[in-house]
Amino acid sequence: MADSAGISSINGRPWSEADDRLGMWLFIGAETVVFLCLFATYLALSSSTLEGPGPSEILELPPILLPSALLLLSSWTFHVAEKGLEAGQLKKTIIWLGITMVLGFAFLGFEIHEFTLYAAEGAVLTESPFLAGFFVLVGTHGAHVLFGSVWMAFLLGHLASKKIVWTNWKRIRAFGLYWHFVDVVWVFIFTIVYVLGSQGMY
Amino acid sequence: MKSSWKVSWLLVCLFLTGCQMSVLNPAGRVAEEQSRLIIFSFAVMMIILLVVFVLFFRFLWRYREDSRIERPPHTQENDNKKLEITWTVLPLLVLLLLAVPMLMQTYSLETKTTQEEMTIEVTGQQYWWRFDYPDENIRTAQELHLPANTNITFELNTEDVIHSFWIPQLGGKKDAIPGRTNELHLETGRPGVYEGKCAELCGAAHTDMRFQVVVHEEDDFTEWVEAAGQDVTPEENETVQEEGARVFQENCLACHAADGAATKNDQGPNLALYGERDKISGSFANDEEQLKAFLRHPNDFKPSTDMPAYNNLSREEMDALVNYLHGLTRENVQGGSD
Amino acid sequence: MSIPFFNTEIKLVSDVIFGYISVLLLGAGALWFVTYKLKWNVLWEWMRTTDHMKIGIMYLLAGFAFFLRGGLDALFVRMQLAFPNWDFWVFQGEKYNQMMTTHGTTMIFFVAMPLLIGLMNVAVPLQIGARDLAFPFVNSLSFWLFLTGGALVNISYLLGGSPEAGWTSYTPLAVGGYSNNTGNNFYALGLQVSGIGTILTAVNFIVTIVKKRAPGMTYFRMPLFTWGSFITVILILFAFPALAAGILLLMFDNIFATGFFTGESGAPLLWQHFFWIFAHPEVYIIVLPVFGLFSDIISHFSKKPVFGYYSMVIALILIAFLGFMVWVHHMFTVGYGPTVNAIFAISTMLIAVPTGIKIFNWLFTMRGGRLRFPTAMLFSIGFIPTFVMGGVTGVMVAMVAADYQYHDSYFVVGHFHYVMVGGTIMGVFAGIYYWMPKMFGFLLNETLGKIHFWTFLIGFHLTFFPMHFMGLNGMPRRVYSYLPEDGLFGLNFISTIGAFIMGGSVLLFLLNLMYSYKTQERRISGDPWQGRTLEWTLPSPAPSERWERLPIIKNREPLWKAKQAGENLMYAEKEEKHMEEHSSVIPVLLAGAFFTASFGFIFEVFWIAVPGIIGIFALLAYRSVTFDKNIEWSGENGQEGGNHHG
Repeated sequence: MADSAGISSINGRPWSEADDRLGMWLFIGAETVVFLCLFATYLALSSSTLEGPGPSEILELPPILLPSALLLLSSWTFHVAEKGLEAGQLKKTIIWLGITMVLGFAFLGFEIHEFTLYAAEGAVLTESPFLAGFFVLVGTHGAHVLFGSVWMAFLLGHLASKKIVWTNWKRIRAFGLYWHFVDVVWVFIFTIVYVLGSQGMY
Repeated sequence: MKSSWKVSWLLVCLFLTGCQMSVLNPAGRVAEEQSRLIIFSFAVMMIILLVVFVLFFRFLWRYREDSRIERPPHTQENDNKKLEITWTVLPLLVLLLLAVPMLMQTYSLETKTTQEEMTIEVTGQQYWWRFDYPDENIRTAQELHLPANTNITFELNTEDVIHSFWIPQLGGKKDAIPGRTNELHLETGRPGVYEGKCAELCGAAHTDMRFQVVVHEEDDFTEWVEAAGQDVTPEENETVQEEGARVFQENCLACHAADGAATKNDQGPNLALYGERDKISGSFANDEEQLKAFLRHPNDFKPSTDMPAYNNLSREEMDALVNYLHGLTRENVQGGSD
Repeated sequence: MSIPFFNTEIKLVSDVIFGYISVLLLGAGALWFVTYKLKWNVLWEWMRTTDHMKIGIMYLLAGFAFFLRGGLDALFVRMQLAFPNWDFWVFQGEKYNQMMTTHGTTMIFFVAMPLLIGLMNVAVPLQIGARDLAFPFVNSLSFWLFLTGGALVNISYLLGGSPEAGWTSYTPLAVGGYSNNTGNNFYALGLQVSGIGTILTAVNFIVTIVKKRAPGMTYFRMPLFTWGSFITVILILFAFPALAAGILLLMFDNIFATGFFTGESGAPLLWQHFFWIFAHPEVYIIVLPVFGLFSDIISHFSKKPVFGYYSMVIALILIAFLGFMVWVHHMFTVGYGPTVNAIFAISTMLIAVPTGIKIFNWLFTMRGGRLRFPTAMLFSIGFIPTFVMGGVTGVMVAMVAADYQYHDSYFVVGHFHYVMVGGTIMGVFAGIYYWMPKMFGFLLNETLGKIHFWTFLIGFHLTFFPMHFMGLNGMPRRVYSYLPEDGLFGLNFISTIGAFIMGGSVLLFLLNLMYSYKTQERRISGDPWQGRTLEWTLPSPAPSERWERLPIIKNREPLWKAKQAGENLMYAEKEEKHMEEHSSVIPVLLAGAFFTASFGFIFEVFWIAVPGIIGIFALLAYRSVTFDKNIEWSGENGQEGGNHHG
């Protein structure tokens, strides 16, 4: 049968790979196109600053380093949680998934702080196409982090109530792809928006 | 099959009407080249269509269920490398045949020819076209005047949304896009009056965003330029004798200028030599009755136009105004300068 | 008279009143039908269903209802254009633009797409021997999101005006108050909501086709309809997100006053790129499944396997691949210069090659066969010359220098109706006649079917053939009138007559549905046409427990080969277990929440939008919490299920 591939095993018993993971891969493919379009918009409009600040005037590298590190770290903590799941260690899974969630929310806190700082300087969505492109791109990513963090809260609830069962296993496997994807998008935002932008490369 | 006679009937229609169709009835070099390319590609495509139709009807008829015809083994096969390669390679060759003239023309259309160059700045706005002649220092709107047998570069701009500048008998179109200036190179041929259109949806009165293109003989064009440049627009606050000029000054001047020399009062279309124009707003016959109707209810002619309705004018005022507008001819302008 | 309505107002003029009255009548009719004929519990069951067949049927019904609406728009448009300088009812200026925009938007997004997705839902699982789609719940959600999006775009006419910037919604016309802002919001939100559903459909079908094929059903044993659908959903997956991103930005421009696409400081052409990166593949999205369908039908009624199966598949893949790199041919006149235009012209022309391969393969499938001509086959062979005509004009418009003349003229209108109506709509009719027994257990009346076919074909050619000449005679697209001296009257008049013949033909199809429902024999055999592929091994209508044991596939035409060998199909052992999900009302509720949120955004009333969004997330959370209770393990070890870990 076609879906006999991808057998994983927990405690020596085979659990067939759920379709969710392929579905999530495909969904990520679609999301990639969305982010590509948003990157294209941001770059195309980065010089249209009107009276507002330009990329190099507003974007700073140092304040973004810590949240970036936190988000990257969350990919690793999630990996540890997944390892715990494979080994059937409920407690380890819950702890590390919890840490991942906290990191996600911490990142969001930094992002909200950053946005309010900009707003205080008058750099808001409607100020210029450049800022609109910036806020929509970074904001869309932020919305993904928020969605993922809340999702983790639900996963924790499921783990606590139903322990390690097949449905929880497949949920976490699918979520993992999503979370790593959100991380990868951040790597690109960090490089293209913050590193190149703060140096005035475009 | 019934569709065969239908197709042939429609082909007859094509030949009957083909000679009148504006794209295939060019009045300049560019349009002529394009129409040649159209006819060439059409001919090649007809050959392909013919091949498919012949095979199609032959197979339909021969292999219908109640046909007693023998079905030899070679017709039963499920694939045939030779055949499949044939109908992969042959279309490629046909495309090559089409691509060569297409590419040559695509590049030649975009290259400026140096001789007898003339530049016109075209500005589209909802829902009319403004034409500036930078060398002659005049301006007109809704009616484009060109000398015959001349290479012309149109610089296309827009003040609001995207418009597309199209004179089917002189050549293909190009868009006027906010934030950029596009250049369109055309060449005029024989004198005549041609239709111009906006080809990109630009709002409620997109349909009515038309203009007339008048191609003059060389001398005639020079004369037109001179007359269009005569200053006849009444000044604001000036006391004018003529009733029509007064009405114009009071009601129209804020937006419209009556001569091509004026660069202010350009909110609405310039009305230089309005008395000579065939059409109101590039669309409707410029006779007394229609012009009055247009002035009273422009919205009935052009939905969402910015022009307000002038149904508050008295009958006498309206008569005088129309008289004044229709009096804006070369003869009057040249003769009675003030 | 006008009634204030949030940030806009509803002008009660004759056409809007007509709209309200027809909505009330239709609503009352539906209420009567549900109460006296269908019973509410049946409706309730269908609303919650996650069954692919039922969802497919609902897609077809909804798509057909929108088809009638889009067709009515088309008739209004054709009436307005029947005579020069003509004023038909109110359809000039803005109202004409609203009709033309709704016609295009509805026909593409809410007719062509759902009708095809409907057929895919009906047939793909049967053709590959799958119990259902991979994610039945998501399938139901996709349907309800599509319906919500369609409803939003369609009610716009009654609530302050439809979008009026064309289905392409070019900026800056569609932003910054150059056209009816409420309408533009309806466009953006309607397409966004249905687009989310479509992307989910794509994910669902890809996973289904990759993972759920019956034992032995290798990729190269799949029927070509499944292949066409497979390639299509891959196209959807990568094309629709571009639209989603573009529409998101469009919505920001109109609701939050950003300047992405405005003329002054934004990038108006960026929208055109996003739109066409989506919309050109879209053209192939709505034609590839019918390519596959026609392959199946022509092979079926020629009593021969399809000619050149592998080259058919390769051609599908090539078309899809090239389809992503031709979008700038919609932008030949924006002034990108000869090199860009030439590259995209060449890539466009290349698409003719795989398309040509398919045409000749269809012709050679018929060669040497024994051709029968039931209505499904008539539509398929009617498609071939029609589509070839649309194809050759496609090559003509691909030729840049000549396209400067065709672009945005009626020539293009003629061309794309030839491929879309001649391809998609004729394909859908063929599919409905073909798979009717699988859906409802009876065949459609053949006599009425044949009249339907011929009137449709004749009406179609009368309507769209003259459009090529209108274009060559200088008639731009999207104009609501022309002058007597333009020489366009005769052509337009013929076209209008043709449109009414097509309209009558569609009504005849409706009549056929009702007549056949009353008179045709029920529960005919599973294989009424002497079929070749897997779906004909099931009884008609396909029972709700479709595959108790999955079939074992050994070749490309399992039923035909089995019949020839005089054997029965082999069936596999029952699987150890498989997961089944109960029907659920959450998709409908989610669609309702999406509707509420969209409604709030459209009228910029955030006390409606915010509860809608909260509703969406609350329902998702509820679904997450109740998921384990909503599934069941069946099969021999079903009871043990997934819960075998202590």
